[in-house]
Amino acid sequence: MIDHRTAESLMAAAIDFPLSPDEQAGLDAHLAGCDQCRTVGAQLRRHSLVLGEMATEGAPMRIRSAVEAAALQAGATNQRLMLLLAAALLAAAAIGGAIVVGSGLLDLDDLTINPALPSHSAAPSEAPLLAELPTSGFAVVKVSELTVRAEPLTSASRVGTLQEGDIVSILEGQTATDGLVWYRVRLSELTGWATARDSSTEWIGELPEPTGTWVLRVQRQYPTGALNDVTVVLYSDGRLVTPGRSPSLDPSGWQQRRLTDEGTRLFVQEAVSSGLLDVSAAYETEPPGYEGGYTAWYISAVAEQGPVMVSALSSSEAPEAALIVALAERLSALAVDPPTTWLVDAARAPEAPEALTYNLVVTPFGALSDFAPEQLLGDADVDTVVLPLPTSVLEIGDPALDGPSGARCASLTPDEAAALREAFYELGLARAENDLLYVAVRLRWAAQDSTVSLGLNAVGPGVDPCVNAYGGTG
Amino acid sequence: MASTRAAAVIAAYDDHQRDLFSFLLATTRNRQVAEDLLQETFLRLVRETRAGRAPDNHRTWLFRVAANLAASRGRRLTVAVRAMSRMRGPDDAASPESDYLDQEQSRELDAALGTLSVDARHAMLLSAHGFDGQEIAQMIGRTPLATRSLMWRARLQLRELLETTGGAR
Repeated sequence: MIDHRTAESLMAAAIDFPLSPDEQAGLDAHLAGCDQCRTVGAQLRRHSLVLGEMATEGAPMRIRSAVEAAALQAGATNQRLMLLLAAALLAAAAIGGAIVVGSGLLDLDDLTINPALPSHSAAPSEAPLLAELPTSGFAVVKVSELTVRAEPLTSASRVGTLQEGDIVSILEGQTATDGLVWYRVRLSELTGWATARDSSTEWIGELPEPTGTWVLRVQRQYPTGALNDVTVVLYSDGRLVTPGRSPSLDPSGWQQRRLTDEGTRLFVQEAVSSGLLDVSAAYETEPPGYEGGYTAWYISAVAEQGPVMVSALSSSEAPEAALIVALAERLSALAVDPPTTWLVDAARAPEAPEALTYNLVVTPFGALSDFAPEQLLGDADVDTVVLPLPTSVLEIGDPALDGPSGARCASLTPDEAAALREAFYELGLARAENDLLYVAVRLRWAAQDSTVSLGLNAVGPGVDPCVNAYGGTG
Repeated sequence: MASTRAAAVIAAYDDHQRDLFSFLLATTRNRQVAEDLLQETFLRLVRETRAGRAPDNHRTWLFRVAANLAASRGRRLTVAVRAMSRMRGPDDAASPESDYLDQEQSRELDAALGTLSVDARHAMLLSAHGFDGQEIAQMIGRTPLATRSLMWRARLQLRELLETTGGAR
């Protein structure tokens, strides 16, 4: 006779996998006399259904546009024709979006407040103007949502939406219609007319002076998806302003902005030539199975006034690839020699290591951000283990080469690495299939009420060290 | 790319973007990241299709790639301070990262899913999107036996959380 725990596990397993006849028979026998487990079984099945009912939503239309453009662009023999086709498809997509909304299905991308339609729509056409914007350069969006239209008319078809804080390029302006002042603006692949203001309200305004030190993460998108040409403005005191989406929601304060190749090139050139960047590390990776495919460059750099990390992703087939590769090579030429075996990104200890007590907590597969330390330490079900951490882990590496936010790239000794790897394999944290081992390690100790974490990316034998492999098991 | 291939990619996008985006939102809990990964997933499909390696089953292929990209990103995000600041407990469901979830039940589920490992969470979400255990095992790169164990443990853990918090009514 199986026990309650076994019965529960079998009922849970049966949701996704067929049970063997023996298992089924044992479970049936148990359930026949156990109301409690029948209740649990019903709960398990209900939860599995509830999971399937989680809120769903569609992706923003601009991703579809990027995919379309990539699909149509790739290998096109007649680019002009393809561009026309793409434009036609985009127009069709816009119409399709309207139909979806009309039929009552929610498309969050269209749920925007439209400040281009003020309540006093009968305003005279000769509105007194607030201060004019320059007709080139950048400006910032000052309302939560701002519709971009194909023409400077409120009746024109909408081509996209800007968000508060977006920094746009001014392409053309100004044009006054219906009491509204319009500018033609660009944000990444989005180009169109947006209302800058009416007689009393300003929706797009001058870029404020940057304040504080900005931490910038430049993340390059696939070249095939990039239809933009964004310029980076680098302030000589190390403060950076770049056009692009407003800062992301990343609570750590990292800001993401999308740049084109030209934008990336300008940014890095400016930064390097001005001496603000001190490149500490560059890694090249190529996803397994993608011969001649995408190459990802992760470049960590430390600016004088603050850390900067550049992640570049390029395709060797794309025309821009040479540029990016040359850029990355230039940067990597400045980089230090990679560590020998294991790559550790560690937060620098605020105190001397010997003054602290510490443990190494291991969670599988980079799930670092998903666990509170208490959960890690308290719950054996999440494959938690506490290992003694060699003091040398904190002492290795050169503090001068610390990466963003005090992160440090450093290596363990072979003995330390071997001990860790053995532990990882025992825990079943390695994926034998591709001989890669990914482990996230959190170092945690209590010192003046502060928690410091440590990330460890470990790779198995036969893999270039200091390379953060990209492809997973795909 | 021949226009028929391009059309196939676009059709695949229209067919699957909603499910994929929801999956990526649920697992990354970050809209920007989910959007990036969705685009990356489909640009890979463009590549595969152009190279004459169009997958037989778009849905399975897309989910596998999306799950791998999400897991791979999770592994990259181990730089200490960034990761630390992303730590969140079950009570943080109202943070901006999860504003896409506007229902109490979804919040509780989201919080509960957040306690799972990446693979376990992916397995739960893939199951919710209609894949069976064998398929999920292939997609997350584990053996069926290991996946079965991973999934029943995850289901019991979810039940524990949802029943004790009074959720999932």
